[in-house]
Amino acid sequence: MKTKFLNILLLSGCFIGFTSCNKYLDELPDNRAELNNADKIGKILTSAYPTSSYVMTAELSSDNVDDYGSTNPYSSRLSGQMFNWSEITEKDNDDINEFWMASYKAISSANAALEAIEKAGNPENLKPQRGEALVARAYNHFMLVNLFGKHYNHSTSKSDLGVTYMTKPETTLSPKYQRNTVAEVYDNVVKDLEEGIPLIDDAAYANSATAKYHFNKTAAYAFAARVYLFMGEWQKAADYASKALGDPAESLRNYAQVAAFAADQSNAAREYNSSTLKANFLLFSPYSSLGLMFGAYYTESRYNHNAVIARKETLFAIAPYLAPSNWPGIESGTIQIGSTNYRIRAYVYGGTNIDKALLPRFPYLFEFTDPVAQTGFARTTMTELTSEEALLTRAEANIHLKNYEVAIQDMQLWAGNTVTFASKMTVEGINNWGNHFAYYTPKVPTPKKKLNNPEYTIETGTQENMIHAVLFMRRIHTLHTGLRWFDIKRYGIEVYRRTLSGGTVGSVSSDVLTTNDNRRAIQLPQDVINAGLTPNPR
Amino acid sequence: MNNLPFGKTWRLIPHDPRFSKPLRIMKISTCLLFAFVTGVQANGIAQKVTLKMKNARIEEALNAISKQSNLQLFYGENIDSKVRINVNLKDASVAAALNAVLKSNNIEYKIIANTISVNGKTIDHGASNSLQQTISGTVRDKEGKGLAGATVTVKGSSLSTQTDANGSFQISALSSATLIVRFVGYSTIEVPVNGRNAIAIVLATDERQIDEVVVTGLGGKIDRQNFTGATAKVNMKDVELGGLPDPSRSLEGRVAGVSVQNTSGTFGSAPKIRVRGATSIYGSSKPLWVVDGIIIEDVADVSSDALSSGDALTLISSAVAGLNANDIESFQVLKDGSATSIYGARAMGGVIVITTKKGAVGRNSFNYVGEFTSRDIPSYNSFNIMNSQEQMSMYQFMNQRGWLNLSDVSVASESGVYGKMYQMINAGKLENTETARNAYLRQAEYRNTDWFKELFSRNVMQNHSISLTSGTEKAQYYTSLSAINDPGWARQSGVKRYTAMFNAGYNLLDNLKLNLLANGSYRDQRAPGTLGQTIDVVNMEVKRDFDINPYSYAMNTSRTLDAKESYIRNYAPFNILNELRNNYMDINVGDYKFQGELSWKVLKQLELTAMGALRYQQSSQQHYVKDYSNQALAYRAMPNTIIRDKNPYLYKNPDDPYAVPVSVLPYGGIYNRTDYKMVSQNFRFNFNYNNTFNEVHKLYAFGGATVNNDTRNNDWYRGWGIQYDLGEIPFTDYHVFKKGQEENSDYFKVINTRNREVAFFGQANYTYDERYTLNGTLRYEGTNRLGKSTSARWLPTWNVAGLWNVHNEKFFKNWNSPINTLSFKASYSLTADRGPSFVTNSKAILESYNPWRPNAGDKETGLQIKDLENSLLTYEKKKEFNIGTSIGMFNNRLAIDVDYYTRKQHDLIGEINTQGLGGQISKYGNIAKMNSHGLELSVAGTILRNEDFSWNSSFIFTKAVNKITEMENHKQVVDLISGNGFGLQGYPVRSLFSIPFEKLDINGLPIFTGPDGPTTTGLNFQERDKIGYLKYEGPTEPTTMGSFGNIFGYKGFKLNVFFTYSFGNVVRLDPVYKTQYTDLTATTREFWDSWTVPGDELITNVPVMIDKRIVRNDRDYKYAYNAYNYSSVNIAKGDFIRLKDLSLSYDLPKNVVNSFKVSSLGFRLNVTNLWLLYADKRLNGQDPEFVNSGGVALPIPRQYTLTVRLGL
Repeated sequence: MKTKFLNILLLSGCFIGFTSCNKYLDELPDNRAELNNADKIGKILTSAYPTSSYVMTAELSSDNVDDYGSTNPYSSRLSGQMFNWSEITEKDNDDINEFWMASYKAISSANAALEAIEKAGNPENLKPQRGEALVARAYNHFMLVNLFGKHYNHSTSKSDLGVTYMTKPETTLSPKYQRNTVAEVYDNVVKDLEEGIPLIDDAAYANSATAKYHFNKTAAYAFAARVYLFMGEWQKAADYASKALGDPAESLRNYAQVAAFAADQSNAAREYNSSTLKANFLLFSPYSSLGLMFGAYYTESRYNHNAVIARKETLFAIAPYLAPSNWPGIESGTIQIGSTNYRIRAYVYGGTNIDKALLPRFPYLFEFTDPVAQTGFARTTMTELTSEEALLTRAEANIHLKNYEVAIQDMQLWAGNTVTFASKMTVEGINNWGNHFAYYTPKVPTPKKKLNNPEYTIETGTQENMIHAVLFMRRIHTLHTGLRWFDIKRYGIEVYRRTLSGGTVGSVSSDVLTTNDNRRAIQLPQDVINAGLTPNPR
Repeated sequence: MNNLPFGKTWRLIPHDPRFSKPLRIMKISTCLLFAFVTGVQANGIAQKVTLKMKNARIEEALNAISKQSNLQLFYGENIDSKVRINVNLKDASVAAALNAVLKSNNIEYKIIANTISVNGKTIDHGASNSLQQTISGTVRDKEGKGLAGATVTVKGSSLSTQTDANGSFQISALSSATLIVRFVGYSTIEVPVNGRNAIAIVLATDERQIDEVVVTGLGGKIDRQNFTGATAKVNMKDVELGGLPDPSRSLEGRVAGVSVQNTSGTFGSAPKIRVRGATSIYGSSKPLWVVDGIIIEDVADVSSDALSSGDALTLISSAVAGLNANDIESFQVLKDGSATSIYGARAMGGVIVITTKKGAVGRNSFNYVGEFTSRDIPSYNSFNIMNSQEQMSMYQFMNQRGWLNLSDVSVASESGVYGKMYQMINAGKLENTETARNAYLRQAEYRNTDWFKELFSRNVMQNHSISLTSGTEKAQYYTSLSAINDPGWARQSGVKRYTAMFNAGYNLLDNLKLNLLANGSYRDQRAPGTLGQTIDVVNMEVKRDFDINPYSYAMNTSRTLDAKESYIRNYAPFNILNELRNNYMDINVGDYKFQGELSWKVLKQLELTAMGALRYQQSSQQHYVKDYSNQALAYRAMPNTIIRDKNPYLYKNPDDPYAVPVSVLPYGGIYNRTDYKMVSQNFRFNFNYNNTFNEVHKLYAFGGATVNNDTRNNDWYRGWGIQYDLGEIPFTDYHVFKKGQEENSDYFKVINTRNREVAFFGQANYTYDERYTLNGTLRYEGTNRLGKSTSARWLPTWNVAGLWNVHNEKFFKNWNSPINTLSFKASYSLTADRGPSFVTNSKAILESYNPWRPNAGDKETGLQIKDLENSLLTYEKKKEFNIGTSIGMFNNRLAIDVDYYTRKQHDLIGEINTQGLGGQISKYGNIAKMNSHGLELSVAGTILRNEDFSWNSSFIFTKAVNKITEMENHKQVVDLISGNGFGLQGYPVRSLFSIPFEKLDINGLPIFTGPDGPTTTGLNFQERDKIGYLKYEGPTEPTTMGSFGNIFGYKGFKLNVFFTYSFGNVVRLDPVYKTQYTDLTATTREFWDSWTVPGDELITNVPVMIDKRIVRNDRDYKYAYNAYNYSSVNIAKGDFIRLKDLSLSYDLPKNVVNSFKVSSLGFRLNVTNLWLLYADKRLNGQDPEFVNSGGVALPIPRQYTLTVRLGL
């Protein structure tokens, strides 16, 4: 009798116990957050931007750098692999491994936010967050596919290997994925972008300074302009660039503010990337030693932007906005464009084992983890989207659309704000400039490089010359920032590997990056391939 | 099972509950209380007995008398149990009552030493033989104490007698007769008279004869005979080490399978304890402490590796530092899965169950224990450190190499005598002539400062503890108070600890028992101020800023310095004595526990228990960095512009391109406060069922449910600019906050964690005929630790085990062998652990962070995904197979226990490379595997024993090895070569690797075998992939350990000689080699062997003391010298044999003691850590167990303790 009663008591106790246990155990163990309100969903989007950058890989792969020669000890295995288009196996904060992780981590944050918004039933008040998340997701995939895939085109992109487009956070330990094609990634990018842009609301950000670290409306337009430019959708590119720019004269870089810090290259670079400049649309602060590589240091001076390139192709070369009367003087060397002819000045470092011609783009900053041992992480700031890029994108699109005069206006605006010597540009003047040069060869370099993209129908003569001119300006504006690599991919420009000798071109490697070279798609990180993702063909 | 015969357990004869009528008992207890107060409690005859019975059996009547009078009852043979009696007594004396019950039934009784012994009356045979003689003798236990009340019977007759209070007896027997000696709790022995007149008999304790239980701590009590798991029990009184108040340290070498490494001896810091070695690769493998049925949760999670870090947190790492060792009755160590599986996921690393003392019926006593400990000051003689003369000549040599010149040293961050000399020259106090300089340096050369004498003292630590035990049938009490006052061995290391304990048991009804327990302790401790240890992975340096640990200071500081002078450290004046006065920590720990347990014996076989407990622990660390401490002064040291620009503690405003460094602490000091708080609630319900069917089928079942809730709170705060000298007014410079924001460092933190757990458990144990036992355990538990994921939350664990008691087999009983007990057991179990505390991502873990931004104006907070969801995350699992045997020989004079186990562990947390599409390429998951096995042997025996002299010896041997069988490596070189090392596939869990040293090159620089061939400076300490070049040195945890103990007894004297040994591990030697030495550093004499001229590379391995010119040209030499510190040259074996404890105790004889009106008085003198018999010579006298990590870590000194025990 007694035991029966007890048994019942025990069993019922167990039953009640089990059912209420799950509730009891639902208490969170620590201060981990849950995405259950608008504020927190907004906060997670702070991490929807990569904390490592593709810049070093893209820049060192491009034609903006030469090899100083093996006698220069200031290089690393990593920069050597990047320069020689080898598979990148070395690890560093600037390697592709970090960029891969940082981009996908940012995508995970965006996906987490989108999932939470979905769960909350897509309410009205979460629209700005949803917009930011979509655009951020699109941006990260876009940069991944452009670094690790071949350039977008209408014919082969449907089969070219792109990257996996992640639309949900990862939930298992080591899932295996298939890569989407380049075309699929672009489709998704466009879809997310078009859906996200109208939702973005700048008022959702804490203040105007922090809004620069998020996709604000302007940044989103500028990014859309980049996407459509890369797709060859010229009209859309021009439209979005216009939206980003508003009145372009208003959003041009205020060089007076930067020039005050010109005494120190790093300070100038920091100020160049200041959140208070209207010209800066989207800012990142990645882990990177780009500030050393493109700063006043010996570090990584072996593969760098040197005086030879600067004189023949970029900073100090004959520019389309340079008055033709000066051209012979430049060619004979009697006239030189000086550092101070640039409004924030260029920095030229020459000497034994150093030959750097730099614009202040990346400050060398340091996040101390141990101030006493002076150890920590190298950091830099960078402006991912600028008004100048949007301006030149619009110009380029307009050239493809054959609106040459409109394009020249934008180019003039850019030139006038960048250098002190800009003369008035005309279609005729640019034709003169273009026709002045023979096509580039590695031994006889010129700013005019063969454009090999069969998808683009470019008329020889004015249109081609205009494109050479706008690419010249883009090259200067995006110097060190890696975007030149994507221009090379877009136009199928061949890249040569040169070794300098005594300030001139010494030898040229027979290994040329041809138009259809598979190495234009950077190989995936070794760890990722080992974990089973399909590598790029080689 | 390891039945170590360390002690006996008393048991009262069970009484029949039918007679305990509450009202009457009250009277008796009142009477008792009175008796106790007037101090005549020893005489049982004074008790009054009230008895009214009809047709009762004699036993019943005797039991009633025994209960009322609180006398023990002991039956002899020959009692006719069928006789029925009638009695009616009121307030009669015990004697009268016994007479009334026994007189007509031909039964004798005696009352000796609180025991009534009852025997059938001796029948006078009348035919007294001429060979019959009177034999006198003594009956003693193994420790030589006389046993009062033992029965001595002549075999084959009914002649019987009992021993008196001193254990003496007299009996008439034939010289050829055999005496049978019986006593409760001891094995019965037969002694042939062999014509002797005097016989000394020693009885061995027999655990088998008392129905001893194994306390597994969750309320289950299982008969030891039928216990299938691997376990060992030690009694505190057998293992305690005088002068070491933390009870966990006394387990060293006492239990096979348990390793105790004293990585630091500072009070409050836990030794590194492993039960059967490591059970997890990333997790902590710590054992679970259970005190009186309650799991002792740590207030803060200190991983096993962090125990040797010397950080302030280690001071609260010991789970049992708040327990008074004198309150502890015993430790029960549960080792294999069969024993621990009832604890489920908590117990993969073994369980140590502590039972505290309880009150007992009829035992009233007052005990005082006083301990007085003095510790030896370490001596330079035992270390290989240069004296000031040698040191000075080394400085001269450095001077020749371009070091220690005026321009550098006068603005150096650290400088000693040379720096002082240049300062004096600059200030015009010393002539800048060679004569004057040499005169100054000569003073330093002859100084020979003994830093140990300056910083250590022989102060006497006192530990006083009183305890009272009393008990009646109705209620039993144990109460105690203790106080430790330790002025500190080293400066600023004093401790005061107070504990109190109250343990009461009440018999509310015959079948309802309430147990109340309250236990509290408060600790007030002082320690030198310390910051956390950090590893500079870039340069490979393990370091601690502003370290003022007295031991490491004495070991590392040049003896040329004057203890009264200030020298330069961190660009600011520094004097160790001044710094210790001005930079210290106060640690306060309060720990309180309240516990209640209600047991209801529903049926004779079934008992239900409900238990609830609440524990509150709070500790606060207040670190005072006062105004004039070096640490505060360093933040404002800028005597000249060179130092201003060099001092890393100054702040340079990044917004201003022309900014000059300024101080963020222009006035005052720093106040750091860290608080840890924990409230833990525990509720448990369980049942015990114990029944025997048909006399041969014995079933024991046990089950229940438990609910835990622990809430932890951790606060950290750093206040800047508090002016201790000006009434503690804070003056905080705003730059502090700007700097903090720019560096992403906080000035306060709050961390709240909640741990909830629900578990259901059950165990069934079936025994057939006391021969074969089958045991099964199942536990199903859930925790909230993995977040809201219900898939990973629940975990079942189980075991099956069997036991064969061979000695109960018929064939064994007929077999005449020296073996008297023999049993075999085997178990197979699945247990699990939750894995390392940082892997809890069964749902994605989002944490808030402050993204790094270049300007304060751009800052914002955000959330980021710290860990992606791993929905398949589960517990780390362990499958264990254990076989063991227990052998008792020569009447249990020799006991041997052997256990062998093999473990296969899977689902261990390890790192894995994924495709990284979630944003993390490297993730933690259940992917690693590990195997381990081990052998445990304990042998204990009585080697010699006669009337006055005895020699008991015990030997314990443990072998435990493990190997990771499956794991990807993601650790950097730095993790593998420093500290505790780390495991790789194919190697033990904590393996230490070295950078392979090849040779010195012709310039005296070291050459290593790097990943790409020989190199001097080309090693990357952060490398993860190319690590194949590293040389495996060995595990950092010993694989073989144990002890050898001997106890010699002579009359009241007892000499205990206890050795411990440990083999199989390696120890990284202190990293002393640098590219640059200051005139502060003390160096070892090995520096004499350093390379000086070409050709030396053939005869020495010690690299050149590098020329200043060379370092200036290439700073990378720092890598080379740091690599040398972690190379295959700079390592030693951790093997040692140690005379851990030598003690001599003396108990004054009873008759002497009684004349002082006390019941016992004893003295003990023990020396701990007397002698390191064997250790690797490369250690240069360092203790191989101790990790000299600075901070608050101190070794266990050689210490002398006098213990006084007094009983009333």
